[in-house]
Amino acid sequence: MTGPTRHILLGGTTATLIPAAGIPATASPDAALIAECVQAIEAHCQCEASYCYPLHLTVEEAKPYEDRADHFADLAFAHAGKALDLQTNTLAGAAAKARAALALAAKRSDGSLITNGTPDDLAWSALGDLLRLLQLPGSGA
Amino acid sequence: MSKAAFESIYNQAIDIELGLIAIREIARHASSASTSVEADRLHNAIEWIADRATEKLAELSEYAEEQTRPEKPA
Repeated sequence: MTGPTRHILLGGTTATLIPAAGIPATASPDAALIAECVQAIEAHCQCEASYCYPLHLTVEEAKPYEDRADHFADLAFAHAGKALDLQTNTLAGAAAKARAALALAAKRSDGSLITNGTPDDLAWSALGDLLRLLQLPGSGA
Repeated sequence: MSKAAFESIYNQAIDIELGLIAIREIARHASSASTSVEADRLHNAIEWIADRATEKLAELSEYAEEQTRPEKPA
């Protein structure tokens, strides 16, 4: 790439002019899709939090925590599945799918990701959406 | 460029970047791009999107420069 890098451009531009970056979900044609993605991420956070119980607990004592984690994992993947079924009309919708994919991807202890199933499907769907939307004039506006 | 147009392009650029960050991270560990051809296609797709983001950021940068440039004396 010639010229300034994206990093410099982004840094320079945002330092000069900072409009409100967030688009209210209700104003977007992808409001339902974005909401599903947000709910998937929130449920996943609840799932991870549920695993934070004392290590000394017996299997029986830990069961409520494990059950809670299972519940939120199911919920997260249910929302992600719904998001996959919805059409993506905007770049914000595609970004929401990509972020949900990254949040839901299982992490190994070394920080690397195990990508398969729903997170993978979401990621490649988001990639396809970005390619499609950016080829259309005025897309994502 | 109007303020509304600027904000629209700004939001598009942010959305593209946010999407790309997540997709790049997943692509680094992707099990679905198992062959070199698939990996190349994936890499090319991501780079193509990154180029579009760069174009939008360049537009914004140009606008920002215009706004901060001192007016020429009449």
